[in-house]
Amino acid sequence: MPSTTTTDVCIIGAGLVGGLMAYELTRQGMQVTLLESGPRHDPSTRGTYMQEVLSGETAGGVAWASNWPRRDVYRSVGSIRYPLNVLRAKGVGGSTLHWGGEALRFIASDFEMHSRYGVADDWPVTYEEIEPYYVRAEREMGVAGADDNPFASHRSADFPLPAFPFSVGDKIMQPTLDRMDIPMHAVPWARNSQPYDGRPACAAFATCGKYRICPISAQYTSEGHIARAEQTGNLTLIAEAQVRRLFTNNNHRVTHAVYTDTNLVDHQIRARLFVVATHCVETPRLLLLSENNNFPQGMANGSGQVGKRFMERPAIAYSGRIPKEIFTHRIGFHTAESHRYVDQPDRADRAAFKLSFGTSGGADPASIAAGSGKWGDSLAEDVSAAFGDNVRVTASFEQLPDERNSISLDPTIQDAFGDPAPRVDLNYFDYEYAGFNNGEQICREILESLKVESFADSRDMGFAGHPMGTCRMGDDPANSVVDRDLKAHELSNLFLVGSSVFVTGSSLQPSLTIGALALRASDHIIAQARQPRAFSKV
Amino acid sequence: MINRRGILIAGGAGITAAGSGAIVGVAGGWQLRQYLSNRATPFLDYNQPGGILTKPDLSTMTNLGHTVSASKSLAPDAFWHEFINQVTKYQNGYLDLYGRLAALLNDSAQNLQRSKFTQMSRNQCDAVLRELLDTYSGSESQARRLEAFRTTRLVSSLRELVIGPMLQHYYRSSYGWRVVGYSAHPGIPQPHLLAYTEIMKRT
Repeated sequence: MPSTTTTDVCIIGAGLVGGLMAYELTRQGMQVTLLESGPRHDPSTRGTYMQEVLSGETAGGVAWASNWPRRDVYRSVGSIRYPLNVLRAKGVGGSTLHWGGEALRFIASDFEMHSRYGVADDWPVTYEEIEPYYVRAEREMGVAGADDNPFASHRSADFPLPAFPFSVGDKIMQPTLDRMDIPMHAVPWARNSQPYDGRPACAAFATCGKYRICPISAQYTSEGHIARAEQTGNLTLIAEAQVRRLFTNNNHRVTHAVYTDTNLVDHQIRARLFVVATHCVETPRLLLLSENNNFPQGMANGSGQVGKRFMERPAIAYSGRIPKEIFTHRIGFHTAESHRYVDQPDRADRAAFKLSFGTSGGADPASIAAGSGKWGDSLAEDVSAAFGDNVRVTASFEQLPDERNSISLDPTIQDAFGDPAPRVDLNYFDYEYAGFNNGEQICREILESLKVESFADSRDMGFAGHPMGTCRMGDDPANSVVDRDLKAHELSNLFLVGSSVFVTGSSLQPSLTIGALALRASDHIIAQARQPRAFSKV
Repeated sequence: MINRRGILIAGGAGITAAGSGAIVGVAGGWQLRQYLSNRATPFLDYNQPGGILTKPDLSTMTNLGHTVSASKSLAPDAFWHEFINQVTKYQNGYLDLYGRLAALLNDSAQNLQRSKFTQMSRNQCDAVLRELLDTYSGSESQARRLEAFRTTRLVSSLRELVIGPMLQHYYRSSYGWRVVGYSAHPGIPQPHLLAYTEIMKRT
């Protein structure tokens, strides 16, 4: 007999969205139950995690690896192999546990790709409508930045924290890039450049980029918002709770969610309102798994768009060595970018891209030693020679939404609970490859101008690990899953929040836009909750 | 500290399951190649329990750690003792492997230098390692050249399961970072925490 809990709002997924919304709703007095499939990590042990990854104790340097691989099985079937479990973190904090921390706004044209360039579709909301929520998200997450980006869209408020200064390597590269009319500017990071919000300033442990660990919580995770929501007394957090189905009544309302705990015991959560915030793979998967007589194609899937138009941020990186000491590995993140190419006139024909300049990385001594076949002083000479003068230029692209890219239920693979595993089908097409050719040429020109030695491209067209799409928003229920307020068209009390609702992607990172949408959805829910018979009609 | 999972990851890439060796019969070429290939594959016998090496064997393997390190940044014996003890104690098979490798190193040292591995100079130890490892590359023809063919798998285990993880451990440590001019992992500010902006001023 499953246990039953009743609450005002059930939020599924304790990542960026779950943390922000739980905080916003609980401080308005709503009773919220927050369900998370992964475990809760104690932030006070983050220093130990760092020591473990530095010493090689933690598998592949990944502190956030799945704690239950059978739960997290998947299949990647597209031409782009997609290592899902490397790209997602299940745990309280979700992807903010292992994110890079880059907190960029999209630009205005990202929301209007059809109007401006005749490709894809416009979002049902504009940059100007989202802008106030960008301001709030930057404040909630503590974004350090500077208003020095000539390619950014307008902002109505300053960054809450000053930007991180350019690195030594940035300063070496800057004159060359200026001559090429590729202006460098600061990078907005959700990482404290000064003490902020009860968290210390970054002390440059240099483990945030490669190892995804900040031992002192200078980098934002949503754990802080979740802790504050708990302090209101209105939040119940349940970790290691895999939500497997949503159930509806005949009035097109979600009545309850069923989750299974690690002892394989089922539980019910009944709520007035449900928010699904489990990213772009598990959100459509849960909806597809929750098909019933009223929703034979899957819940909220009358349009057939659930799981469709999966997107990434394709990326390529080029590196080389310059005969100068640039103090690599002193910091874990890059401090300069150029958005020179994020919105070019040819965007109708080829993907826009962003340039990042990495002067803090390159192979570390252990990585150089790993493949050498040498030892002793001979190896030490190689390590010394190969270390410390590496510069990298990364181009990350936008990807157009395409129905051929999708998340679906795999017909053969089942997870630990016997449910069909997610099947990821990701491919790049002409638009992305045209952008790739352009970006590659620019990257090569930059490195040639810098007179680098040992030029190397790190890989073919890869990706940045920023999934988007699969439950897109729109005004027309015939071709979208949620409306402009992120409520499912077909259900009166189901909200889908996160990058799954993105209509188009961007060459810029999605996290701040996710945060802004979460705050906007919270405002809508709070306003609606005050109305009589709230969430009772489709 | 190192845990069992880390050891598996560090050394696991080349491990094959026990009992996978093919049988040479009147053999076609492919069977012989398969046999030789299996013989040259690193092997760990998981049925052998974990534990602590004898003092002489621990000294031998510690000397191996010093030999593969950079001479300008040697770690103390205790650094290697901790690593070796953690590996052999908590991971089945490694105590047996390390013990057999200690014997192999001493046998080779005796043959080459008429001495124990622990009593040789760094250059002599290096020569022993070179004799063992340079001969073996994993290819069929070179494997055949090994005089003591039965040691092929043990030698490849030395390279893949012991020296590889030793180098990873060393180059992740402050001793390894000193090789490239830092006093520790550069992200661990020395001697006390410094804000990022302070660090940038200094560089």
